Amino acid sequence: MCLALYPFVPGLPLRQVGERIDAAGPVVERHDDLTSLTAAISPGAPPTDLVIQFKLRRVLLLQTVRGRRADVVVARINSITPERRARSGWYLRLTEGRHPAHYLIGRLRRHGSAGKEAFVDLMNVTTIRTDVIVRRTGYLTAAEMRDVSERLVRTLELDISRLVGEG
Amino acid sequence: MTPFTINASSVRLPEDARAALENHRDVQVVAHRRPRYVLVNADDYALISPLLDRVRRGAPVPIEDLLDDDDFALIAELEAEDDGLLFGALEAQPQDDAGP
Repeated sequence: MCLALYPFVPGLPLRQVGERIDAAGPVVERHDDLTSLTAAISPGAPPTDLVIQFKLRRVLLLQTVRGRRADVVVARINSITPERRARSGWYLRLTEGRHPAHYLIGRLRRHGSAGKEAFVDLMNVTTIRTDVIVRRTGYLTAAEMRDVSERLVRTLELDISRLVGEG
Repeated sequence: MTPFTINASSVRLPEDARAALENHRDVQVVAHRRPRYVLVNADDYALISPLLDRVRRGAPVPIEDLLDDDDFALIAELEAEDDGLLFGALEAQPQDDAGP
């Protein structure tokens, strides 16, 4: 588990960093639809910059950070607030380890959340650059990572029928 | 997959559990406070057995088919939380980070 810059997937409205520069710096243009955005991009033009949202948050690394790999796939980690705990059906499935997309962590010190419950959200998986990982906050065991992998297979809707057949 | 079938005379179900099944309510069997089995009305089972088959075969299933209303409410809550973020704002001390 790590603390890292977590980017949000860009969606409409999009904010494009224009080529025009005024006294305050580059002019950011807002596009409420794709027609407006594509009209602003000339054919053959170099890649354009978009403004994206990001947050510093805990993530679970789903791949080993090793060697010269620049990107790594991570899953978002969310805290469990009293309001979320009050969703009794969801919380029961989570604590019983039966939720298809969420995995409970935080009850053990090595999870790095000071004993506070949280959950790995396998429906929110993204790629981040390894150089935006701030620090390690905890770790999961191989058995726990297998539980995570089972959920990842479901949320990514992977076809593992051949593997299941071989088992 | 064809279910393993036994005769009703082989099963001793409490009357209220039998009534619950007749009323399309699932009956959960617990052992040592852990859910072990769930009995389902045969008509309901006919509806969900194709989904179970796909999951057990390892075939892809839309994740939404495995989620309930509580999950969708939570997903909406998480999305609303993201929408509330200031554009490009960097939190000095993230709420989620309670690490060492």
